Amino acid sequence: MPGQRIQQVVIVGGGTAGWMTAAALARFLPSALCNITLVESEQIGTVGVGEATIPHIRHFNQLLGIDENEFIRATQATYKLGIQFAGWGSPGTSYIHPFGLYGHDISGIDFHHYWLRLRALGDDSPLENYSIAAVAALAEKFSYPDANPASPRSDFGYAFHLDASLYAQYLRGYAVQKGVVRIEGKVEQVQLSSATGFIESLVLETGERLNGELFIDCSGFRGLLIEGALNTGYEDWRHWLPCDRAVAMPCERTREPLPYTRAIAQKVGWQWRIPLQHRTGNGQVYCSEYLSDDEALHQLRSQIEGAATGEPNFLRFVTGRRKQSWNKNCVAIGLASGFLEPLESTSIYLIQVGILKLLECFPDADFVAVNQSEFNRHIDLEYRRVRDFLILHYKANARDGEAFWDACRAMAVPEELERKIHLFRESAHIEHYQQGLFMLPSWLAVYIGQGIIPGGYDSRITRHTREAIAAYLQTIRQGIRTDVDAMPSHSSAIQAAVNAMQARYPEASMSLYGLQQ
Amino acid sequence: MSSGPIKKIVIVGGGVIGWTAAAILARGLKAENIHITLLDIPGLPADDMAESSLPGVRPLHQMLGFDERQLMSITGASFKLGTEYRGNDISSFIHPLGKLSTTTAAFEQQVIRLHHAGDATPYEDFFLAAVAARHGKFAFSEPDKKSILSTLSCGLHFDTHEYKKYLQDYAHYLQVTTCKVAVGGLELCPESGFIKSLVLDDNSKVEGDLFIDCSGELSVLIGDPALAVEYESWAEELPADQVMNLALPHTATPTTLLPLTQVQTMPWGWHRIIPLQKRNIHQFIYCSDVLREALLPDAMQRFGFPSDVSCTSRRIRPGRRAVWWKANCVAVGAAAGNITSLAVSELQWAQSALVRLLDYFPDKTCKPCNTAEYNRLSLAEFERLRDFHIAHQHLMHIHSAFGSLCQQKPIPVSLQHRLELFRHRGRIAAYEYDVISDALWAAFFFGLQIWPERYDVMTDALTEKELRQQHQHIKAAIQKTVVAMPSHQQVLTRYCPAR
Repeated sequence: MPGQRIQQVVIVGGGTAGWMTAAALARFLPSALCNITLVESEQIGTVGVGEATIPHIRHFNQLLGIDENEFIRATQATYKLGIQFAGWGSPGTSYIHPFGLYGHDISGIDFHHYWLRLRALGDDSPLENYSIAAVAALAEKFSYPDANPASPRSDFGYAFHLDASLYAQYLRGYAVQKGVVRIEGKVEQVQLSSATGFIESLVLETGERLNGELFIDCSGFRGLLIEGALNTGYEDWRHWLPCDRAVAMPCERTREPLPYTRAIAQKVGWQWRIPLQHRTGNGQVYCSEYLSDDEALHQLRSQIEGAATGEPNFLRFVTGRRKQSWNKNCVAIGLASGFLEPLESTSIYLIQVGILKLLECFPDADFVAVNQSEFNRHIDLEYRRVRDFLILHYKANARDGEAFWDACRAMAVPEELERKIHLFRESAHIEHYQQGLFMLPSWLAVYIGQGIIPGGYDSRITRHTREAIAAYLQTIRQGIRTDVDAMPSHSSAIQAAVNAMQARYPEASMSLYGLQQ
Repeated sequence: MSSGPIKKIVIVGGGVIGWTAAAILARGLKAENIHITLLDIPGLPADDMAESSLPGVRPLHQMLGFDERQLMSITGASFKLGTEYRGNDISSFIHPLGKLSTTTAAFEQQVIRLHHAGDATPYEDFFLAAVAARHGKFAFSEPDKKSILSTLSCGLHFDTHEYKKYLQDYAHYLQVTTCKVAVGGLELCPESGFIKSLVLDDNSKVEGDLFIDCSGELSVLIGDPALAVEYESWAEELPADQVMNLALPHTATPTTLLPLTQVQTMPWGWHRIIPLQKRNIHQFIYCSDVLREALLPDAMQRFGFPSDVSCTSRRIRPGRRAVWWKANCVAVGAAAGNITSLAVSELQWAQSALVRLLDYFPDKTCKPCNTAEYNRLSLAEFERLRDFHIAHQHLMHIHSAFGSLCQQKPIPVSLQHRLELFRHRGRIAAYEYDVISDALWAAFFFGLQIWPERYDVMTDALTEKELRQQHQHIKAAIQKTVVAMPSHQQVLTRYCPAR
């Protein structure tokens, strides 16, 4: 028989993580059985300054029944087809990590082997030209992917740039309307059961006491419950990802918004540019050992394109991961669960998988242990996958002669990543794994974009003549060019979404490249 | 060891695995100008008489350019919509190959809830594949996701001997050469440890750049004394060590031929029936410590086999080599590892490994990172398959001599976690490299009447009455579809009548 259902969930923190969690729980937990309370304090700022996302967010919105166009209006969102990395590879170069495939496999051989073969024979057409998402991004175009999976216009996905505070606000409206109780206040004390060590209640500054059975820690870096109260422990990953600070500062929009995020490498760390409808989000991620806060701010100010519209917001973080995201009766979601810099726009994704996995493993009041072990097993894998992919960007930099970057190139990386890089270098193979981010095209984008060019390629394709491969590749390039030429501009696509009364956007799936599973 | 592209591949072993290797490599490397030779060596254990394969075999056949109708006619094949299990320790169920015939997310959670409320509907009743199979009906899957027929998926049953002949013709057509010889020894390159040539019993030599060991149990190249790759035994986890095949021709054209493999648990192992168009193949997969050879005739008589029934027998050694690819030698099939072939056959894991070999096809140097990746992926996949087979043994055999062997050793941690999570709440813990989908795992556990103690709280959003109505609706849609479907026998007669 089912155990006693949980009747009271308490969420601490009302940032993006808190309200996404509240909204999803309110959507899926039967409200007659379970009360959801979210406690947040207006005195504590949230980190949300403007967020870049990956396509999975569309799946989340769809699960909640949120109209995509309404969401675009509410969050000042723009479309996103990928991320441009500037200055990470050899000087003056940049590349796009697109939300889509490159070319098409032929006879079961991954496309990039053909490209590598042609390259070895002297052709210099960039890999980017074989990705419709990348070409459209650079042309500042946007249209929905084709619903017909046979069409070459189907194999890409899209995400959004959005104002995370507005998204939190929007979800707050959604959650409250579905019965979530919002309490304004600061948590002063966390009371644990002396017998089990479980959290029993929170005492607020006002003296008010919040009892609960399940506590969700969305309090951000501090991990008020998971660390502050439960001392869960933290695995520090700074030896692989050495940046430990960021400064963010929005500015006025000076041009039509780009349909991609920019990540521009700097002497130390990198800067982001996130184009929204009404402004541009900017930030500098850096390592305090190499750059002071003042220098970082200067570096940021000197490069932003429009007039600053806010004061600089300094953030400190320790890259790494909570040893257990779920400990006792407390589940950490978002930054309380771990911090990975936003280089690949994964923050909201990691919140999302935390929520979905929690729903899958949602416990009854007796907290049977297997729920917790399954949740932690899976979330751990998600963080590690993203971590290794981020490390690759640093490890494979080509910024010779800059102390920060020289140190990154020289560092030892996790064994699994080492194996992947070595395998690609030697034989151009990229593993097709199923669990967690990222799939082949993403790895390929970064490897090639940052100058890891394999010494070989699939030996089976040596049979094709240069002319045959060149002709085939040219057909793909031309097809993409024609398709992109026919697309509307990004800004007119946003305008259409903002004005549209009817949803015609395609169905979403839990996929980075929009592939239907 | 020289460099440059592979020019000559030598396959050792003329059983169905060897010819599968010849066919897949010859097709996959068609334009590479590689010479492939197959050495048909004596003493190879007999192939099983019939195959029961998962749906993956059909796209493979397509890749090879086989005409399915022709292949099925020649091999007397039938379709497989699932496996029916029976036994003393379990109640009979069908493990369907298709998908649940509903698009409702987390539907299994609703089934658990209604089960707790007293609803006795078996899980398989929500699979068109299972219901159709029970009624001897068959249809192909429809690509249109809106059609209930899209939830079907099928594997094949076929005669292994005829299949091998088909592969032989195909391989010959693709210029694979063959000779009947025995391998007496091999010449290794002292620096690299690579195989330079095989020394045949007439003292002639066969040189090659890449060697494929398909000699099964004999493991002529990968095993002792040749490359001497260590063999890890899983005999304690998988106690069956013999397979016997018996062919029983149909006395008349059967009016109903169920599109099902049938498996019955026995006090000594398994009795499995693979239905072909002209005959049924019976397989006894057993532990020789429990079922002594001397008792076999008795057992057979009890099943009503005539004393002159044609039969073959071979030993199996559950376990696996520490690596499947060493130097310039790749072991495929039982030479690489064995897990009894009950749910996923040796032929299928060999096919999967060969397709992977094409992906990681080397040059003459066999770069270590390439070999290592092939080994890592192959072994990981095989370990997941082992879990699935251990689950079969452990959950279906309890109160018998064989059962007590199956219960002896604790199950692997990954399987333990999977079972624990399922028993608790009906969710499947996903593991990387698993070829058995979450849906197949779930249908398997439900089939075994492992009813989870709990279900998702999200399921409480609807009332029991609403759920019952929805479920009734799905069952009605399945019933209606099954009534309109042709019989399996009709489809076979029309599509691929046995020659």
